Amino acid sequence: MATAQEKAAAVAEGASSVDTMLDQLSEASGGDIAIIDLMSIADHLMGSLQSTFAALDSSILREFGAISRSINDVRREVASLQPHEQEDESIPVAGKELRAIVNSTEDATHSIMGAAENILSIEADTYESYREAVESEVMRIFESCSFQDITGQRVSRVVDALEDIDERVGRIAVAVGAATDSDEKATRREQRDSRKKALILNGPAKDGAGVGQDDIDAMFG
Amino acid sequence: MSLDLTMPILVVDDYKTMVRIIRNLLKQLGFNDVDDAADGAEALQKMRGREYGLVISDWNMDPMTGYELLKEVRTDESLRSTPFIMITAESKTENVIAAKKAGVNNYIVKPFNAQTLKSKIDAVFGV
Repeated sequence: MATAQEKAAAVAEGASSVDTMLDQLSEASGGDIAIIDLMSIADHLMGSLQSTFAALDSSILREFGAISRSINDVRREVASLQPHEQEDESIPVAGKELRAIVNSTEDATHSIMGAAENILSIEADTYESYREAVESEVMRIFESCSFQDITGQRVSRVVDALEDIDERVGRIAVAVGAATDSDEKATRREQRDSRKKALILNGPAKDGAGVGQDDIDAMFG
Repeated sequence: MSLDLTMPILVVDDYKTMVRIIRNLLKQLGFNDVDDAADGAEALQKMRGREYGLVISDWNMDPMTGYELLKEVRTDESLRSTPFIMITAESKTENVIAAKKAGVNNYIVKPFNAQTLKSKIDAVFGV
């Protein structure tokens, strides 16, 4: 004859719910369910629940672990964003370069218009003196047109600053799972920075920050 | 000593407008034989095909900068004595020192005027 535990184990194995378990036990016991049988079922149920809780614990632990790692990744990326650097360097660089572009294009425009106005108002006694006056103003126009070269270099620096910001935001996006990882941009940027350093590519200096022609002439004696 | 106005000059700059400006300034000074190149590599190729009396080069170009061109020229037996003037927006002291160390004959910062170009060319040729 089966023991209470054996009966309970058999019932629990086949039962899908506690009610079903009790019904089947009652049937097996002829309508009377002994307390000891109930205690055995409870004991068996506790055993199976414990393994369920243990599995749940591991699963929840794993999830919290993953969330914790994600938070650390985001924290690390935000720290590497170096908001003060962005605030103190990249963004101000872009702003200053754009202002310098506006100023230099304005200066060049005035210079060119001034030369054109002078040409229109030249009064000369001879053809030679007229030609000399015109050539002088034309040379001024040529010199003024050099703003395009310097402007182009300043625009490149603005683009670099924006690409720097774009890359850092991209890393944040990867950290929060909003984008897939791409080392390509970071590698390209590293290569570009490395080349700039090796070939001393500083670009046009901020107003007043570069060495003047007189100082350069002094270096060449 | 007077300048040889017939000497061929090579202007190296990736901005076509700057090449045009320098070409026109040189023309005003009397130099009519002016070739151009868009970067150091192209310039080097042209220099190996023709003897230039003067090279006027920008610094910041791709794939070869004017700084790299200068160093190549100064290490090449057949080119090392070519007078070389840098005309560039690179105006930090470290740039000027590096160029001088590499053997540049003179250095002009952009923007510049015709008078500056003339005086630097005169200085290179001892006029």
